[in-house]
Amino acid sequence: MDELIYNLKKEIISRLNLEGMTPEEFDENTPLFGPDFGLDSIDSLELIVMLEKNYGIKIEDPKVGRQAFQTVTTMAEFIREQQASKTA
Amino acid sequence: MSRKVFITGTGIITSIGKNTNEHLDALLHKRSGIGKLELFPTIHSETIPVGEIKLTDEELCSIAGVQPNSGFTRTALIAIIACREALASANIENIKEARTGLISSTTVGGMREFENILTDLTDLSKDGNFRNYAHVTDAGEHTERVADLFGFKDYVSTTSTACSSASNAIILGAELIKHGILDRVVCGGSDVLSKFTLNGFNSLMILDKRTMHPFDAQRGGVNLGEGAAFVVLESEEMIAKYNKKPLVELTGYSNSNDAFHQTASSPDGDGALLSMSRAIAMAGVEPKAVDYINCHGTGTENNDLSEALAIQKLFQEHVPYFSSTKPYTGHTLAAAGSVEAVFSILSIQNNVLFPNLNFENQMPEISISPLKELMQNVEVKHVLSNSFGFGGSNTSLLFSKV
Amino acid sequence: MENTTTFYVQGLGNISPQKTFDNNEFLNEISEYNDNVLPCVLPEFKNYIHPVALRRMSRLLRIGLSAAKICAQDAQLDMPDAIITASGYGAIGDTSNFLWEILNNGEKQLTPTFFMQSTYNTISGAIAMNMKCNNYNTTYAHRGFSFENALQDALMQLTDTPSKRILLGAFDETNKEQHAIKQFDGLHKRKNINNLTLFQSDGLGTIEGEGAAFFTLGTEKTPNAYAKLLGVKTIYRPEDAGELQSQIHTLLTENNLDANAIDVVINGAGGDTQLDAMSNIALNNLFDGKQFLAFKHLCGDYCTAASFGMWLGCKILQHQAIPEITKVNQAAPLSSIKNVLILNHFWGKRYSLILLQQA
Repeated sequence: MDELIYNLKKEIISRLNLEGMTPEEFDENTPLFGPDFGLDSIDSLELIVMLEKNYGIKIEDPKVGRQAFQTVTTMAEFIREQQASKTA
Repeated sequence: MSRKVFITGTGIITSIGKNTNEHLDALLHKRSGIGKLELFPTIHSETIPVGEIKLTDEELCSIAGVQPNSGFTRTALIAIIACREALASANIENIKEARTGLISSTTVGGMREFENILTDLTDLSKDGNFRNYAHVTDAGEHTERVADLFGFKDYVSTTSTACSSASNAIILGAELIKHGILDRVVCGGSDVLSKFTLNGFNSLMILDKRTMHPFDAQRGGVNLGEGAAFVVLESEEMIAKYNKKPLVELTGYSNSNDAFHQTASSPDGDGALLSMSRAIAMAGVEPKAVDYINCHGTGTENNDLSEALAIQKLFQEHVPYFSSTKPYTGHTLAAAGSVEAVFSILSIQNNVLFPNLNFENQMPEISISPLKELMQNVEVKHVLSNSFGFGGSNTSLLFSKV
Repeated sequence: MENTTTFYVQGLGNISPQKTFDNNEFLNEISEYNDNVLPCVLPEFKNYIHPVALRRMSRLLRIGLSAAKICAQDAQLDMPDAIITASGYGAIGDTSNFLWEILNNGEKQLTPTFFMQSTYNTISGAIAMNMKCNNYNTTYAHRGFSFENALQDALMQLTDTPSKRILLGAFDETNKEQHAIKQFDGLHKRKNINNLTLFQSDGLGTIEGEGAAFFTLGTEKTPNAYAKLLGVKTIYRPEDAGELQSQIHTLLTENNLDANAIDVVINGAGGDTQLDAMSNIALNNLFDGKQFLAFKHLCGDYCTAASFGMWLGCKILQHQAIPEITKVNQAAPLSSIKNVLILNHFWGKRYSLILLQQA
């Protein structure tokens, strides 16, 4: 598994208190805000702060966050884009 | 229920004035109190505008007539100032001559003081004046400060349902009168700006960094404010006995719950619809009899759409004039219900409708828009006031001309 | 308030420092504590709350919501006509958590969970969401009157609409900072004691407790109705024991009772001899020789502790038996227990009366 994706899964599980879940059984393509996972707008705000703390990425508009956090895969892509544009 | 409930007095202090008359003047002249935060240190003072009462705690102590540093929190001080005006305006000199209650409300009570002394307070080796503020975190503390100063004894209570708190205080007061438990009740709420609430709302990302634009397509959230307001509720018997002239009658009220989300309103406005329709039904009037709605109108994406949809659904082709007056005062949280009750009363008394400041762009999802300009010399018989809060709390009050 | 409607307690749900969450038991096993802070004996939360909903909930929210669910199940109540809650300090744990985050992080990188759960009505909102209940929903937060104000509200609603069934509860949680503050002021003891020796200790200060007690109230005598709730009264800053006595007299008279009709007196004494004095004098004057009970050695003291007292009264009336651990004296044995009076006080300034009768 991609290291960034693995780390993100671990961080999401701990940040959102997803008790009993492991990174292995966490499918990176399952919609986080869909019926299977059931996250809501507050979780999205928690993830925004997580990105700022762990990756130095600041999101000012919650809508941008919601867009980026569709799945763990889209989250990883968003982080890579942001980091690339920073170094560019 | 046969007994009527009348309102005989008002008292209010917010960023736009220290009493009812100053508020009427500010409302008529479109004078907003939103501006830079100056009276306590926070990293947000340059970036987040607020509706701050530009009086220091020392100045408030002097107006309230109490000693500085003697344990009166800012929340208690402004509550005292508003309560004193309310009692005077209702011509109540001797609280003990009738069964009189006090029901206040707050979201964070004395948090403004507590957040500065928390570390010292928990150190058992430290003593000093700050210990006067040791027991100020709970909601009831400020109510007892007011009660003890004015001598309220027959009934003291505090409601705390987030941003609908003061409206629920008014409902309890009305019920206690209707059930013959009290003759009159002073009801309202008080909340001041604190790091706690400022950072709390900021963490929810619903604070507008500009002046707020409720019901606008480009709205970006709320501006917080601070304030206290009380109304005096009295029974029919009190009105008759003392030959009083009531300001308005409280003809309807209702409380319902969204049962949807801790902080968000249901997107279709079901909870708001329920509370508005039940309040109007209680008054025994048709929805089309409502002349004006003082909306909750916080300027958040979620509230304004949900509230507007509920208004559209309830009133259909008879949508009354509506506006949010929060761009004047900012959102005074627990006090909002009583602050806006005072505005609703002023509207009926003066036959005037207050505009929704800063509205520019029509929301695409709805076909209705708020009142943009001040309207004077209009007959205002029934005003509905909405206050909604965290926990899915929805409360509506209906005030009617006597 | 004189009343022609009869109010029944139709269900109970109590999570406290004793194992009270199981309605089939009645103080069968007693928990002892030795550090002046009494935490709740917890049920398995997953039995009452969906795991997805649980993940973000604070400890108090879990306790409160579980107690409400236990109570609703006990009364077979699917859709309350009103949800009314009461708390002196509300979600003080999450309030402290958010406050410390602000102070420690310099107002930066804050997440909203603690803040949004810090409001007093978080639990009443969570119950509404859990039960999908759009009806009346409010929260009283007035120190030692919170629970009594909530009861007053419920009784008025049931008087107007006897068909209603109301889910009502009170909750408060222990808090490190608040305990320290109260230790400084002498409200809480500094020297550790065993909770069961509260009334034999030095008589200075009380011990801190917590709990969530819920009640289903209605006007119908359901098969498992525990008790009738005859009335409730709050007395703010009474002058002396005489004023308390006269208020007790008024409440009894309103219900066509006299002092002699009271079988059991539940005294919400906290173990501080000064603060308990006025209650003790009034009760001894009026009810000499009656069976006196106490309960704060079992649950500790907190703003809404009267709710534990009311739970105790309801269970006694249902069981027609008094747990020995609650007895203050050994009065003559009772052939039946019909009327129970609870007198609670909070910090010696806020007094309340709750009058119960056999269902």
